[in-house]
Amino acid sequence: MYASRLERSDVRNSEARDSSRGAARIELILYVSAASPASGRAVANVRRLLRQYQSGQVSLTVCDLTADPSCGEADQIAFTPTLCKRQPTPPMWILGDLSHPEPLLELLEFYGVETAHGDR
Amino acid sequence: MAIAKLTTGIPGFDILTHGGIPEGRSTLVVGRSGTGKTVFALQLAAHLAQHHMPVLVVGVEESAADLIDTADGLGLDLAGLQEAGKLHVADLTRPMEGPTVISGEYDLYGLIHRLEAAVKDRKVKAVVIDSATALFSPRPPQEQLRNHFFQLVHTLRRLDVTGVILAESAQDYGQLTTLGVEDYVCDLVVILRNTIDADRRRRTIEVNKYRRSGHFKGEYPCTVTTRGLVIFPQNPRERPDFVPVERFSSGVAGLDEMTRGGWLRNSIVIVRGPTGSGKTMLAGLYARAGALRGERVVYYGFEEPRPILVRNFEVIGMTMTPLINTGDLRIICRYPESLSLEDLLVNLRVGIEEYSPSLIVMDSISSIEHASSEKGFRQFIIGVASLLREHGRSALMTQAVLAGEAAGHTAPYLSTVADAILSMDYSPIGYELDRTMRVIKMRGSDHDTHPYRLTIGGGGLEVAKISPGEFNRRVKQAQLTS
Repeated sequence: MYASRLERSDVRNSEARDSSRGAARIELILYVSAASPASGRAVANVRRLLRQYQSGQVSLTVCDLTADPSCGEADQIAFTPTLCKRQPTPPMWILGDLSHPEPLLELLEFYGVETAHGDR
Repeated sequence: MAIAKLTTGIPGFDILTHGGIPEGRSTLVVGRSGTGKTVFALQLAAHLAQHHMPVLVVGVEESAADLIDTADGLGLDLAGLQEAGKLHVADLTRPMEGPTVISGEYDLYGLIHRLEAAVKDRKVKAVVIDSATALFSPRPPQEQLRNHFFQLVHTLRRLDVTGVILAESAQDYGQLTTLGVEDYVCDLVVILRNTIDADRRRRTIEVNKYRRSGHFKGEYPCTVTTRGLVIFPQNPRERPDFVPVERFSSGVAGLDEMTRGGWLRNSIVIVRGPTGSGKTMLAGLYARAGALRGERVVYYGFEEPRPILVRNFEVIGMTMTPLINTGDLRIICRYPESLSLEDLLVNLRVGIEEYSPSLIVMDSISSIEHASSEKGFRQFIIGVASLLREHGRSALMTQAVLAGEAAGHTAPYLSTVADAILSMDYSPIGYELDRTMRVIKMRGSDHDTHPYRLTIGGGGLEVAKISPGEFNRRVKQAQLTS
């Protein structure tokens, strides 16, 4: 029910447009479940928040555990929604629907991700 | 209707729970860190996988590799069970360096989908979670936590899976779990404790509740051995067969006369007496007579080192060496201070199961008593008795008391355990030390209630009846002396 791979292609498109930037520096995976009401909110919230930043610097993959329960194994996922930052290491886990966006915003700021309008 | 249960293979646990854990329901195992929860869980997982159904172990505190290592150390072949497809391990440990933060509401569907997949694809019928405390960390608000836990247990129910959930408690007594919600939804709650009692470490296990099932109430001693957790339910399993009246010689002719033909088979004899009254000698004769008859005998000496004990027997003409060499007699000397009572019980159990002695001597239980708390000693004695009864063995235990008190009051837990009590005593009469001996009680047997005189000589003990006239003369003499 979620377009899991859509964002990945977005990233590739943006990379093609701006080849000087190189690969995305921050790799995020959002684990969701169709059964979880908070998951739907998380997908919307993450997308809305990331739109405010340069798309080439962050890659987001949405993994639906309903479709593939084993896809969360690599990141030890027990809860949904969980946003996992895989790269750069060390990894970090943000549990919840991001109705409190501060953890994600602080993370992006920490790694110096520029905003979409270049006015960071 | 009796509920369906699964045996656990944990020695003693199936007795405490009248058959094991509830099938298709959830069991909660709580205890402070270091109480043996994981050991319990791994034993259980291996047993379930081996004998009942495919198992999924969800490791949150320790990685899959660590859990398999721990199990290996306990002689549980988790890796083999994994290869056979009977056991699966899900690793939910998060690396220490990676933080987890909360940004809003969330639920447990990540785990739930994995459980569903394990049931569907791998035919898993039992799930062990180590632990709920680690799983729900960081800890969500109480209301949410409660919902998560309920959701977990309800999922297990819905999937018709037997659940075993571990949870940490902050202290041995008081609030059961750190999370404070787990016990409401689980059908069986087990508490493991590891306390310090009079300078001695004491492990216990308690079945706190068992919905729709009877169980043993209160704390029972247990210990963690190289083969895992061992529990002492202190309740002799009834031996199904009829025990015929059978006697064997005490090794002392006069004593056999006092008891009208010797000790009864399957009985526990306690010999009480002050130091120097001849208890060890009597114990040695008991052991020696048994071994000479071709029985297997184990002699536990808690008072002196083995070479000295063996030498002392040698000196009074009771050589033990040939009997030790033929394997009929085993002498094991231990300092009670150097090992826990639970370990001693394990020693006894292993000894009984592997060597299969028919007679067991413990000389003396007083040295164990001095090295433990009153509560610990009581549990030990009851544990020993239940072990002996379970295996239908006979035993003689010696107990040191003050001179003049051997025939006096015995602690109730000791007197209920003893099938026979023999008192040995002495009092100085003029130039002589007058040693006497009486049978205080002997269940299921006629016995002489009169005093017997005891002479310790080169050939061991000699026991002869004191005539009423002689007894009265001695009493008068004793009065004159004092």
